[in-house]
Amino acid sequence: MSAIMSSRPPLLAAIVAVVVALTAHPAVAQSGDAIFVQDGLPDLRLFVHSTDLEQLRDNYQENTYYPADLEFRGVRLRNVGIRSRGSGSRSATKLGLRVDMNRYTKGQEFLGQKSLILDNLWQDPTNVREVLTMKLFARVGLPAPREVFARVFINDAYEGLYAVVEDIDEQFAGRALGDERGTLFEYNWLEPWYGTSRGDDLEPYEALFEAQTNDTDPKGTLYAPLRDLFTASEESGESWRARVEPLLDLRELLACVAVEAFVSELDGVLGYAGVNNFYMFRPSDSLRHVVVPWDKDNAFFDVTSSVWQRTQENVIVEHALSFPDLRESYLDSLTQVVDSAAGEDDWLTNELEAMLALVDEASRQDQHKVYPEEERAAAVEQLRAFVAGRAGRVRAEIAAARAESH
Amino acid sequence: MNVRAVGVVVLAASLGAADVAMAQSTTIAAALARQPPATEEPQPAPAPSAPDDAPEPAVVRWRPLPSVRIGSHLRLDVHFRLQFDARDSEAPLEEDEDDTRLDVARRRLGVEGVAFRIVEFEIERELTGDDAWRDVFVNVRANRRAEIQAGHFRLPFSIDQDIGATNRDFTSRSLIARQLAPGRDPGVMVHGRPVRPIEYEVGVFSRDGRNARTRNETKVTGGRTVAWRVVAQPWRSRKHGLEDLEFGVARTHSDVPLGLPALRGETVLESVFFDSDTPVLGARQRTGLQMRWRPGPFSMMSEYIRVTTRRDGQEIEGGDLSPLRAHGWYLSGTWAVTGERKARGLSSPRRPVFRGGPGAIELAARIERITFGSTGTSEAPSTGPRAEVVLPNGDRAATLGVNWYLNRYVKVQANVVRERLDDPLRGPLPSQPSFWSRVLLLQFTL
Repeated sequence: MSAIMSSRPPLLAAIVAVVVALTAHPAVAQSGDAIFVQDGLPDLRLFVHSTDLEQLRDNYQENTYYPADLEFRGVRLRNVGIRSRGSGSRSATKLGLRVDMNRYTKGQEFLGQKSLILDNLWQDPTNVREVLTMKLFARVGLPAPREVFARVFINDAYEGLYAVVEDIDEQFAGRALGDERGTLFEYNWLEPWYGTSRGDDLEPYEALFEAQTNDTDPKGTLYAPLRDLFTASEESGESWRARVEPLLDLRELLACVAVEAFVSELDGVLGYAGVNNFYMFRPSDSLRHVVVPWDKDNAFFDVTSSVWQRTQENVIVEHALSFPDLRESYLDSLTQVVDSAAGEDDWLTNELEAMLALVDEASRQDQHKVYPEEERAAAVEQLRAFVAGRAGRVRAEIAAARAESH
Repeated sequence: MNVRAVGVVVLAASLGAADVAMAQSTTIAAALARQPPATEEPQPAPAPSAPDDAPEPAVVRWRPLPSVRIGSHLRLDVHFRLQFDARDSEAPLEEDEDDTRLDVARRRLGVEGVAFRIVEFEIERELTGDDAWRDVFVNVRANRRAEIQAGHFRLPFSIDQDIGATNRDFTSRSLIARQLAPGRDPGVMVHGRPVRPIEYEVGVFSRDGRNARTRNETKVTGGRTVAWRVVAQPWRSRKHGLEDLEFGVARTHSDVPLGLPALRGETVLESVFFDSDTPVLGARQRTGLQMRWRPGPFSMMSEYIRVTTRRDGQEIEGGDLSPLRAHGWYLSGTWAVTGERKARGLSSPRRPVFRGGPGAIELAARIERITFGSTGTSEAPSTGPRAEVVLPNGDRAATLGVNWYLNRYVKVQANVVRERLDDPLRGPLPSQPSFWSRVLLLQFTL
C-alpha cells in the first residue's frame, strides 16, 4: 500500500471527526470552520458509481451533475451532486470538481457548507500559489474564500492533491461580507475586456456577470446598476467619480489590485487578457459593489513586475488612480500588503515553507498532475525566489511613487 | 379549454354463427368478456342454414346496427364512433396552446369476428399516431377450460384497463390503470374456466406493455413478460344479489435492462408530476388486486396495483439500491338513476330521448391515489439518481361525473376532478397543491 493510502490523520483531525460524528447527524449544518482548518493534510473521498465516473471523465467539458457520496473530516454525506468545473483547468485526468450538497437533497449541508470547490491545481506546478494568495487576501482584511489542501480520492483511488475551496455563495457573503442577502455576480471571461462601456442595453452585462444569488430578481434590478457603473467610463474627472463611487467601492477595488500587484497575478483584475477571475458583490442595502478575488493559480508570475503594470489598461483603475487620494489609498494598500507578507514575522516565507512541506509528499504521489517532478521543483525554487525578493522591490516602487507625489 | 374529437370506425365481421352469446362466454380476451353487451335488445337470430349445395343468401340489416350477412358464414357489422372532448383545468395542460382547439386526435378502424365457431379474431388500428396497432389477435376456443389467444392485446392484469373507451364510467381510466397496468403487447395467452366460478389467464408477452413506455426511446422498460390473473365469482351460479361480485389477483414479471425507467407519474389530464432519472436494472413485478360488483342499477369497482422495479448494482459503490415503487388504488361507484341494470350496460336506454324518455342517466364517483418513490427508508429522501430513498411524489384525485346516454347513438359524459399533489413543485401547477379540472365528452356511435 502506498504511503498516501496508509497514512493516518493527525490527532486533531481525528478528534474533530469523532466529535462531529458523535454530536450531530451528518446532514445537519455545523460550521464551515470544521472544513477550513489546515490541521495536517486531510483525505477527502468521493464515491461515484463506475458508470457515472466514466461518463464524467468522458464528458468533462460539460456541466452535467452526477451523484456521489462525500467523505471528509470523518463525516460521510450521501447523495451530493458533483460536476466538472473550471475553464483552463478542466481536465478528465485530474477532475476539477464542484460539489453541491443540496443538489438532490433539499436543505442538505456538509459541515455547514452547501457547496465546495475541489480545485485540481492543474495550472500551478507548485500547487501552493492559489492557497497562499487567498491567505494573503484574508490577512490584509479583504474578502476571500477559505481554502485548505486535501488529498482527494475517488473510489479509493488517489486522484491527486487538491485545494478545497469555499464556494462564493450566500454563505460566503454572510461570513466574509456580513450580508447573506446581497447579490453575487461571477465574472464570465468572454473576450479581453478592460471595464469599458458595453452600451445601454442590459444583455452585454448579463453575459459578463452571471448572478449567483438573487438570480430570480428582474433583469433591470440585477443589471442596470452594473450597466450604469461601466457606462460611466465614457465620462471623466469628478463627473466620472460622482457616478462610479456610489456603484463601486473604489478603495476596496484598489486594495484588491494591490494584493494582485504584489503577488504579480497574471490573470486577475488587471489580467494579461483583460479583467478576469473575480466576483462582484452588491450589498442588500446598497448599490456599492465590492470585488471578491477568485482563482489565483497564476499568481507569483514575475518578481520584477511593476505594481503599476497594466493599471492604465483598465479604465476604472486608470480613472481611479488619477485622483491623488485614491492613488494614495492604493499605495497605502500596497504598503499594508508588503508589511503583512514580509513584516517582522516574515509571514509569507514561513507560510510558503509550511505549505510546501505539507504538500510535498502528496504532490510527489500525484500521478495526475500536469507537471513532472523536475518542473515542480524548478517552479518551487522560482516561487521561493519570488517571495524572497518581492517585498524589497515593491517597497522601492512605493517609495518612488510617494517621492514623486511629493 | 381544450376541445378534441376522436373518430372511430369499427368494422365487425363474423364468419360462421358468431353472436353475442359467444362473446359473453370466456372468450376474446378479458376485454370482450368483461364489457357489458352492446345492446339489451334481442339479437337477430342466426340465419337458417341453407342446403349444403345451395349458395348462402346475402342479407343487409340496418337495425340495430348496419350489418351484412351471407348466410350463416359471414356477418359484417359496421360501427362508427365519433368522440369530442373538451378539457379545462386550473393547471396548464400539456397541449394547452389554444384554449378552444378542435382536434381530431385519433381515428381507429377495426374488424372483429369468429370463424368456424372456435376461432375468434380482432384487428384494430389507429389511423394516426406512432403506436398504431391496438388489438390484433386470434383466439382459439376449442376447449373452454383452455383457450389459446395469440397476437397483440392487453396483458391480463387490470379490470379498469380492460374496459373499452365506449363503456367507461368516467372520461378517463383510473390513474393506476392508465399508468401502472401494463397495456398491450404481442404475446400468447392461455385462458379459460376450469370451474364455473373461476377464470384464469396466463401468458407470455414480448414486453411489459405499452403503458410502461413513452416516446423517449432512451428510456427502458420490461422485456419478455409473464403475466397471469385469476378472477373468482364465488356466487356466479346463484340468482341473488352477489352473483356478479368478483375478485381477482394478477401478477406480471419481467426483467428491465439498465437505463432510466419510462414509468412516470401523470395527473388525470396527463401532466407529469414524477419522472425518475434513477437507473434501474433487474426484475419488474406488478401485483394487482381487483373487485367489481354490479347489483341492479349500482356498481362498485376497486383495484390496488403495485409495481416494483429493481435497481441491482446501482448503488454508488456497486451494491443494490432499494427497488423503485409505484402503487395506488381507486374506489369507484355508479348509480343508474333511470333504473337500467349496470351489468347489462346502459348503452341502450329503456326510454330513449327521442322516444319520449330521458335516456339513461348515471351518476359516478371515484376516489383514487397513486404514489411514486422507492421502498427504501434508511436515509433522507433525495432526488439523487442513486438515492436509496427516492423523493416520492403522489397524486390523489376525486372525480364526480354524470353519464347521459340519450339513446344508443349518443352519449354525453361530464367529469369534475379535484386533484392534490404531494409535491406540487414537480407538477404542472407549482404554486398550489390542489387544482380543479373539468372534462366534457360527447360520443356518437352508429
